[in-house]
Parts: sequence; structure tokens; C-alpha cells
Amino acid sequence: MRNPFSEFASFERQTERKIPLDDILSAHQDVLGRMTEGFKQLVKDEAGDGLWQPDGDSIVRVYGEASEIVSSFPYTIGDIEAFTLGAIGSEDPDFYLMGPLGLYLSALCNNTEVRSVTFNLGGQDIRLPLLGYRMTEGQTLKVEGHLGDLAGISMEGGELEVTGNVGRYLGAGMIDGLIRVSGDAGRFIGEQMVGGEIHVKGRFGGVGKPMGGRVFHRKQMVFEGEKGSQKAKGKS
Amino acid sequence: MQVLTHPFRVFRAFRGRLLTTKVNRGLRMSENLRQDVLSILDFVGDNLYLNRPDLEIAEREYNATLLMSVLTGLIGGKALIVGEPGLGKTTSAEYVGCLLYRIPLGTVWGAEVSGHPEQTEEKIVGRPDLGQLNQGNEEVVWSAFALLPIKIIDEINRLPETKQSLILNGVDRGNWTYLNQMVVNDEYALFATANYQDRGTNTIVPPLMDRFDVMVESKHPGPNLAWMIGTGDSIQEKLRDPAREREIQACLAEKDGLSRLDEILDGYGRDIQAELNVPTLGRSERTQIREVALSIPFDIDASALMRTFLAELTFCCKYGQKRSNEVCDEGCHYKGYLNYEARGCVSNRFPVSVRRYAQALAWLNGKGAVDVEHLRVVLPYAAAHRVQWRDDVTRIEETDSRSDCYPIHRAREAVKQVVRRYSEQSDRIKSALATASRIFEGEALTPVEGEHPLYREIFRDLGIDDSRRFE
Repeated sequence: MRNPFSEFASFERQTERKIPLDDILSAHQDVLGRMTEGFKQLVKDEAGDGLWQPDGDSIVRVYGEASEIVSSFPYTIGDIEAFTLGAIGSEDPDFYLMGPLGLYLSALCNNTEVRSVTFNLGGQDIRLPLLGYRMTEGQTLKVEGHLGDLAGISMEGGELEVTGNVGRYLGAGMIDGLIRVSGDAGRFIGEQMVGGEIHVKGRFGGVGKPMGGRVFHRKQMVFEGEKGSQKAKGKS
Repeated sequence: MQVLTHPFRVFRAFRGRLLTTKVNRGLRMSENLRQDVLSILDFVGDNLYLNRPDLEIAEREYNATLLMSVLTGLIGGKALIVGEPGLGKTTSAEYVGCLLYRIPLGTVWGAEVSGHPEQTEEKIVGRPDLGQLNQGNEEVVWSAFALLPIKIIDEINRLPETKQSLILNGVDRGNWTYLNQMVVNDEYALFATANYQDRGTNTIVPPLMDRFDVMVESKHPGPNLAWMIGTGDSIQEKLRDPAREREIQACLAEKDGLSRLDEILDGYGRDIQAELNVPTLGRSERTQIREVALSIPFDIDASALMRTFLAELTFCCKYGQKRSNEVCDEGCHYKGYLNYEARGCVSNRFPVSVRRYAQALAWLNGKGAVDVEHLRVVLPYAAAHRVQWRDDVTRIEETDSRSDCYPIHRAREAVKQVVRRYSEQSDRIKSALATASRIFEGEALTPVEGEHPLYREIFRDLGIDDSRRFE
């Protein structure tokens, strides 16, 4: 009888790109403690009753406080990734508040000197909202997996790449930069955006009311404003 | 379990490199032919079969009907083209056959068989030579359909089911028998067209259906392209060559006339190249393409994905394998997989079709290996007509929004599901297969376990009694 598996004889399981969660957590324990403490403080200040609704004011307020908190201690990209893994798998009710968590992670990314961050959210049921808020020029944020509503809003530059799907209000209010979504995007894409570019490869929920920039569905440009970002055009 | 030893195991990796080198050399040598085939595709798409592209592979857009027809012609496959009347099912096959096999269009038309209830074996395959019969000799006059390498059956589902059996063997193997004589086609491609069900159509019997490698739909091109059809100079007429068509007819009528056929066809090819500036393929070119294309290996992910897909279409935890007369229990542990929704088991022709078409597609893309993307393109067309879905548990409704006909749409959704499942655990599946290979060769290892039916199939292949039973 022939070996029906011989094609795989030379296959060796790839070393996991990610260190097992426990190892990551233990390696970053100190910083993680400060990050967790900071997030809990943020939740206590901004959503003490366990409720939080995203609107223009609350987003700005929470992000402002999150930025203050994260600038008070040093951390690395590995710390952000470890904190994210711990946070989305946590049973602590504070971490159920996805909005503040998305803003806190955005603040962590925007306040680090390293300009390129990757989030591996593949296989997660949770869809983080508000990630990529106020990204700045030169920053790159890659998300392997899905995101929730309000991804990449108010981006000021940089590049946000999502391999999965995103929710509603993708890139709302963005000023500049580039967003690429390989999966589907919900309704109100580019709502009130004034510049930059949004590319969606999957199903397209519909453009909001952008005022500038450019929105693409696959190869087709579905919206072009008068203030299209020249910088982003160059990148695409 | 029988344990085999492999004395040449140490050379396996080296042999792999040799194979790759051979494939690459073949690809380089057939590059001009690849460009020729792409030119034929473009020529037909731009001038003869106007339709929208509906597939994108390696940043090149294709119309699925045209692409599948060309792949069918290249590898000598069998394609079932379905669609509404008048949407180019037959004509697409005629043009592709004409250019890929260098046969004048009139001859292609002449060799076509129409499906209708009064069709007979004598019209399809051959008839007795009445002159010879009067002299007491039993000779067969073979039909052009039986002799020529391009075979088109128009409206196959208008053939009554009993008459469909007449062509089973010929469709499958290229063997055509009449009286006590037989003609064997060493090279042929078959295209059959079918309208959707109406009062005049019959069901295509499952054994015949299974013999088709792919099923593809010729769709409406949209109002704008439709309005352009029939305008301008008719290039179709330029593909005709009445003088050579008569010569070919005479050749086919003679006893050893086929030996002169290639010469006539080569002349036709030269004239077409000169007049229309489009290349055509001769027998040697097609043979070379087939040799190179069918030697292209599958990369490890494509192979593992295909095994995953096959496992989902054949595995049954309770009855050993899928059978069309046995239905899964409601509480089956494997309810989330395709095997719960499918009726019956796909035949061994299915992986053969997928392999050949995926290799031909990889060749057309100039790739040295078949990858997952090639499989994703080919699988829906190879599975659409073969997989029967249960009506009572289907998760994809016929009324869902879609752009393909339901069988292709259903198969495409099934492929998406399996690809998603495979992506989530590809490393583990490959690891399970690799471990199985080592166990097969005698190493004392524990097989990798998992939820997917493929893991259970691996256990079965390894002859390991699986005591787990899922009720």
C-alpha cells in the first residue's frame, strides 16, 4: 500500500509566531499590571456605572484621559500585544466595555515611538470598536481579524489595515491616511471624512456623508471629494 | 497495518527539487504557448463571445465560461455549459474548439450532435456502410462527432434518459463502439450544453452528470454588451473555410483518411494566423501543454485543503462513508460540516477533475505549483453538478441573493466554508498529515487528533481502531 501522506513527510509544524499567552503575560507582568491599572482607572472615571455610549464628546474625553494615563509609564509593542490578548480574554467586567478598551489601545499605539503595531485578533468573537482612533502620520496598524464599529475614525495619517471585516462608521471623520479592509465593511463608511482614502475589498455597506477624501470598493471609486489627500493617493 | 520502508527516503527532498526544476523548465519552454492560449482567450472574449469577466485570478480578469472552456480544451476535459437559450453556450464551445484544435468552424458545426428525443446511435456514433453491407462486409461509417477531437452535444438534456446511456462510455473514455467495431479517441474534449428545466427537457442521469469535469453557466452579458453583439464585421465567417471543410469531410469518409487530417488543419491554422492574427494550437502544442501542465505539483496547502474538502464530502461517522440512500441522524456530531448537508458521496472522478483543471489553471497563470487560490477557483465548478444537497437542512437558500445559478452558488459557498475551516487549522491539519506519514513509515508516534472529519479519516487510513463513537 502506498503512503497516502508522503507529500507531507517533510512538513514540520511552524514555530508559533506568537508566544503562548502565559509566557507573554509573565514576561510583561509588571508593565501589564500598570496597563491594567490604568485601564481600570479610566473605566472608573468615565464609565463608573458600567455604561458607556460613544459620542463625539465621550470619545474625545476618554481618549484624552487614556493618553494621559499611557504616557505616564514606559511600555513596548510586546506589552501592547500582551495586554490586548489578556484584555479580550479577561472575565473582568471592566474589560467588557469595548469602547473604552478600543480607545485605550489606540492611545497606547499613538503614544509609542514604534510606528508599526500588529494586533492578532484572529479567531476572536469580540469585535473591538474605535481602534485606530487619531492615528498619526507614519504610523502603521495592522489588524489580523475583525474590528467593530468606528474603526479608524478621526485618523490624522498613517495606515490602518484590517484583514477581516469591520462594523459601521469606518474611517468616520478621518482627515488623512489610508484604510484598507480586506473583508466586509458596514454602513456609513467615511461619514464626515475630509481626507484620506478608504479601500474595502469585501461587501460594502454603503458610504456615509463624506466631505472629502476618496472611498474605493474593490477597484471602483465610489466617492471622491474635492479635498482628497494627495499623500494617501501616492501610497495607493 | 502493513508498514512499508522507503529506502530512498533520504532522497525525497532532493527529488522534490528535481521535480520543481523540471516543472520550471517545462514552464519556460511552454511560455510561448501560454501566451498563445492567452491570446486565444482574449481574441474570443473581445470578438466572438462578448461577456463580462466574473473571475479574477492573479490580477487578471476572466469570464468563467470562457476560461473553463479553454481549460477543457487544453486538458481534454468535459464541460457542461448551462444557461438560458441564446446566451452563447454552444457558440463559446465552438469558437474555443475551433481555435484550440485548429478545426474550421464549419467542420465543428458539422460534428455537433443535437439532443432530441428522436436522436439515434446511428446519428451520434456511426452507421453501417450500406454499400459494403450489400457485398456482405460489415463496415462502420463513423460520424464526424465520433472521429473529431472536439465534440459538442447541444442541449444534452433533451436526450431521453435511456439514450443518454448511449454516450456514457464515449463521454468517459473516448471509446465509441458500433456493431463490432470501435474507434478510440486518443485526444478529445467534450462540451455539452443544457438549458434549464422546461417541458422538453429530461434529467441528466447521475452517471453521465458525474462524467463532466466542470459545470459552468453562460450568463447574460448585460444590456450594453448584448446591444453590441452582431454589430461590425462578422469574424465568425472568417473562421469558416469551406474548401478545407469539404476536404476534411472527404478525409473522414475515407478509410485511412485521418492520416491527412493534421496537414489540412495545419494549413487552416496558418491562414487564420495570417488573416486574423490569432494563434491556433496543433496536436503537438496541445500535447506539450498537457505534459507541462499535468506535471505541475500541488503545494502543501492546496493538497491539504483538497483532502479537507474531500473528507467533508465523503465522511460519515455512523455508516463509514456517505451513501445517497442513507441520511445523517439529526444529532450527528459532525452537523457543522458539509457531510451533514450533502447527500451521497462524491466519486473518484471529482478529485481527478479538480487536479487537472487546477493544474491547467496554474499553467495558464505561469505558476510552478497549484496553490489554494487555484483550487478556490476550480472547486465550485467541479463540485456544482456532482454534490447533491439535502433539501431539509440546506443552509444556503435558493432565494438568497447571488450572481451564479444555484448549483454553482451553493458549491461556491461550500468551498468558502471549507476554506475558512481549513485556514483556521491549516497548521494542525498539515501536522496531522505529516505525523501520519511518519507513522505510516513505521515511527512510533501518536496521531494528531482533532474535530474535523479529516482527522478521523487519517485514523482509518492508519488502521487505528477508533473507539470513539458519536451518537
